[in-house]
Parts: sequence; C-alpha cells; structure tokens
Amino acid sequence: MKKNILIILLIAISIVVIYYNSKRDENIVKNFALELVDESMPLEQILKTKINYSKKQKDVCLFFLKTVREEYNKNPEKIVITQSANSNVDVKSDAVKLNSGEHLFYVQFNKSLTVPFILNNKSEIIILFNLTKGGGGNLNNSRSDETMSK
Amino acid sequence: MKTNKQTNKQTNKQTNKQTNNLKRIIGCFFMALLFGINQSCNTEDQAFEPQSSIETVAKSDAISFVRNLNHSPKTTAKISGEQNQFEFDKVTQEKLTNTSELLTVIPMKTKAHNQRRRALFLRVGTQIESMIYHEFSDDSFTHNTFSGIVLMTRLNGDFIRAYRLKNNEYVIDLVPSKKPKFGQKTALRTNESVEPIELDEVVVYNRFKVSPGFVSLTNLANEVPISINWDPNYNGGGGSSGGAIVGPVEEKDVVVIGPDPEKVIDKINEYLKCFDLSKSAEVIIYVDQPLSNNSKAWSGTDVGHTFIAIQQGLTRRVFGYWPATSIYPAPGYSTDNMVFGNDENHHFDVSLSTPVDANKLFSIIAYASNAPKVYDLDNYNCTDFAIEVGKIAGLPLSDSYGSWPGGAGSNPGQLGQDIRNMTLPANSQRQTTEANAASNKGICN
Repeated sequence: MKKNILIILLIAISIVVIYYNSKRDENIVKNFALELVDESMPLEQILKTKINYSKKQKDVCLFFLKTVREEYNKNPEKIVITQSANSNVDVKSDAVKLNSGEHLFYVQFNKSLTVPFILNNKSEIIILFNLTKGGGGNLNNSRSDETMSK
Repeated sequence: MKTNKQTNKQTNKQTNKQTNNLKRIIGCFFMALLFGINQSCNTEDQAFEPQSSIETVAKSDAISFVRNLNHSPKTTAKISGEQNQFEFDKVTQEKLTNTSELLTVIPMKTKAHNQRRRALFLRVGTQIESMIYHEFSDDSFTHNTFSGIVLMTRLNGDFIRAYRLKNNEYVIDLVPSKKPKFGQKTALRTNESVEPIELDEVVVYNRFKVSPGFVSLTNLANEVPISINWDPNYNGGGGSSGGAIVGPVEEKDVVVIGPDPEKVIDKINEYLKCFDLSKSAEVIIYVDQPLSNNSKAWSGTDVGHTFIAIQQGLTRRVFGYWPATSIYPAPGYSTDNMVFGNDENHHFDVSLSTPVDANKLFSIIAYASNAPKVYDLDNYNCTDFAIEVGKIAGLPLSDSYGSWPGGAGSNPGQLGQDIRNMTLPANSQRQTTEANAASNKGICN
C-alpha cells in the first residue's frame, strides 16, 4: 500500500516539475515580451540581459526590437505566448534551425504581429530573422547568435 | 627532285586529310543545324529523322540562291556588299558522312591570310539551308591541327555559333560581344583578322562530364555543349530563325541549382529561348499571399511571393524575381543582387492570365532580360517585377503598396487582393482557388 502511494506521489511530482519547467520557459519568454513593449525599458538593456547575439548582429537586433516595439504600440493587445506546436503561424521546421535544448516560441503581440523566438537551454532568447517567400524558398533564416550573410 | 616529290606528296596527303576532316565537320554541322531546326520549341514529341529530308543542292541552285538574296529587301544591305566575295566559278560538291547526299560549297574571298570562308548549302525539306563557315587560325595552325576560332553565320551575317579550338580540341564557346551588333559592317573585319567579330567567352554549365581529351571534330556536334546565347537586345535576325539553336543541349545544362531560391536560373535568356517571338503566347501572374485572401504584407515570418509564367503551345516557363542570397527588412539588409528563380510548382493563392501578341511577348522577354540587377525589398521586389510584366501584357495592375515591420512596398498580400477585386480585361482569366503553379514544359535545345 505504502509502495503504491509512493509511486503515485512520484508521478505527481514529476508532472508538477515538468509543468513548472514548461511554464518557466513560457514565463521567461513572456517576461521578455513584456519588457520589450515597455517603453520605459531601454532596448540596449533588453538586448544585453535577455538576448543571445553576435557582435555583428547587434545593430540589426536593436532594429528588430525597435520595430517590434513600434508595431506593438500601433495596436496594443494582450500578449499571447504559444509554443511552436500550438501556434497558428506556419514556420517551416526546415527553415528554423533548432539546436539541442532549444525551444521555439511564438509571441503574438497583436493580431497583425506574431514573431517567433528561440529559447535556449541557458534561458536566453535568440531572435530569428526568418523570412520566407510563400510556399517555397527563404529570404532569410539567420539567427541573432549567428552572423547574417551580408 | 625525288625528295621534293615526296614532300609534295606528303603535303598533298596532309591537305587531303584536312579536307576530309573538314567535310566531316561540315556534315556534322549541317546535321546539327537540321537537328536544331527540327527541334523547335513546341515539337518535343516529334520524332527526329534528320537524314530523311536532306538533299543535295544543285550548283546552279546554290548560285541562284545567293544571287536572289540580293533582291530580298531584308538581306540586300548585308549581302550586296558580299556578292563579289563569292567565287561562283569554284563551286564544288563534297561528300558528307552518314549520307549519300552532297554538300554544295561556294568558296569566298578573304583578304586575311589567316581566314578562310566558305558558303555551304543543303536542301532541308523543301528549303535551301545555308551558312558561312569561317575559320580564323592562330599562328600555331598546321595541316594536321587547327588552332583558332570557328565561326558560323547565316549568309546575312547573323550569328549561329562560334567557338575556339586549340590543336583540334574544343576550348570554349564564344558569343558576340554586346557592344557592336553583329551583322553591321564594322563588326566584320576581313583584314588581318585576329578575331572575326567582337566575341566574348561564354561559360556553359554542365552537369555531365565532358571528356577533357581530344574532341573529335567529326562528332563535334554531339560532344561539345552547344548553345546559342539568345539575346533580345541583340539583332539576331528576328522571327523563328533569329533564335537559332544548333546542336543538342539538355535543358538542365543551363539551370544551376542554387541554395536560395532552390532553383536559380543562371541565364534568363537561355531559360526563355524556347519561345517563338513571332507568335502569340499567354502570360500568367501568380500570387502567393502571406495569408490567403488577406492583404497583409507579412504573416510574421512570410512575405509571400509573386511570380510569372509564359506559355506558348507546348512550351511553358515559370519564373520569379529573387534576391541572390538573403535579405531582411532592416537597414543594410534589404537589398541584394537579383537572380531569377525557377518557380515551377510554387504554391499560389491567386492567378491572373492574359493572352499576349508577338510584340508584347518580345517586350516581356526583353524586360526580363534587362530587369533591375538589384533586388530591393522596398523599391523593386518580386511583386514589382511581376506587376511590370503584367502591365506590358496589358493588365491594369496597380502598385499594390503596403507596409511591413521595417519597410513598405509592393507586396503579394496586397496584389492578391487587388487581383481578386479588379475588373478583368477582355480575354483575361482569374483563379482564386489556391493551387500549385504548373511545371515547366517543352525542351527546345
């Protein structure tokens, strides 16, 4: 009897831990998104504290963050975070390069702005400069921690 | 004395050997020419039987053929100055390989010591086919080996093919330089010729292995990748004969598979040379919207694509305007060199097709050949290209302007909606159910 209770308890703890971890990842992304749209937060600070980026990508990362903030402020809505499997936004799996321990999230800032981000195993955000050309071909599939081919 | 005789005999033997070689070359090129004629764009399924329609041209007919060209308004200017170059009294008929028919040859005068010209005639079907075969030898020319340039032109001077040989080995194909127009008097230099016309080297992409060794002149038409660089800006004679294609080239030879888009078109002129510019065709504008039936310029990751197809009989080519490497709507990243991409089977949400006459078809192909070299996401992108083509085709397309984070310009989202809502011109057709564009069709090489 005691043994059965112990097994059930272990299963329950595991579920809680898994749930907590998944929520933790989602919360990290959510906190990042909230800071991003917060006008009082300097973008440089967000970049340095939250984003994994290469030196050469600094400028384009800042431009990206600035653009997202501006687009959000045109039409502020409740921010919704979804993991890739649950998202309506279709990013082709072969277009996004996910390394081990990385997770793909979509942040819906408003109805016209849904942007994918990667969260790595160090809880850092990686910006995706993913741009596809309809049903075939990429215009860009680089990441903030890599150098864009220009 | 005996030694001199032996030397003469040896020299004659070498000369005969060279002459025999030449006959085989000529035979091959006429076969190749005939092959090119038979392999018109829209006859991909027709059986090819080159030898069945070859006939000898009587010497008198060949002479009359040249003299009658003098009265043709199209060729008077080009041929009249050359009339006295034909040595009609030295006309000969020579054997060809693989056929019992004879090749009629009229030698032509040259001033340059390193140049040799002959007009060649064969009857193909009911028509007399002709060409001038020029040889411009280098100093290293010997009786057994040829080094220099071989140039084939029509009698009016229109370019057919040129290539360089070194010690009988094929080196590279040559195309007329774009600066001087071939056929003009200034282009043909008959004095001390180093190079017959202004020629540029052309790189032909091969996916098959070409033997690096000796290229048999007899089989040259089969072994050397032959492609005539058709250029609508270049005065190639017009009509169906203007874009002459000689010899067998598989279509895949001119399409290079690149990383982005998946199929980069290396030479748009080659890609589109199948079309008969003297005939009408159909142009289709395809729009792949970021979100179907929505004017949004991007979906968050997708900006969509606009591309076109040209169809004429059994020939179809689908292509679009692409950046060569990558772009992104951020300062310093929104422009790139352009390439054309093979967009066959690309998904689309809306399409619009319209018939175009020969003049419009020519203009569209000329426009594609001279499309802006820089892909600019904001100012000239795939949608701008397709809109311009549509306008040439007579479609009343608007600028379809819209914005996306980091930029603004013509875009597939807006264009798709504009096409859905526009009043259709006569004879145009619209499709609003999403599908994949058709495949390319027709092998014309």
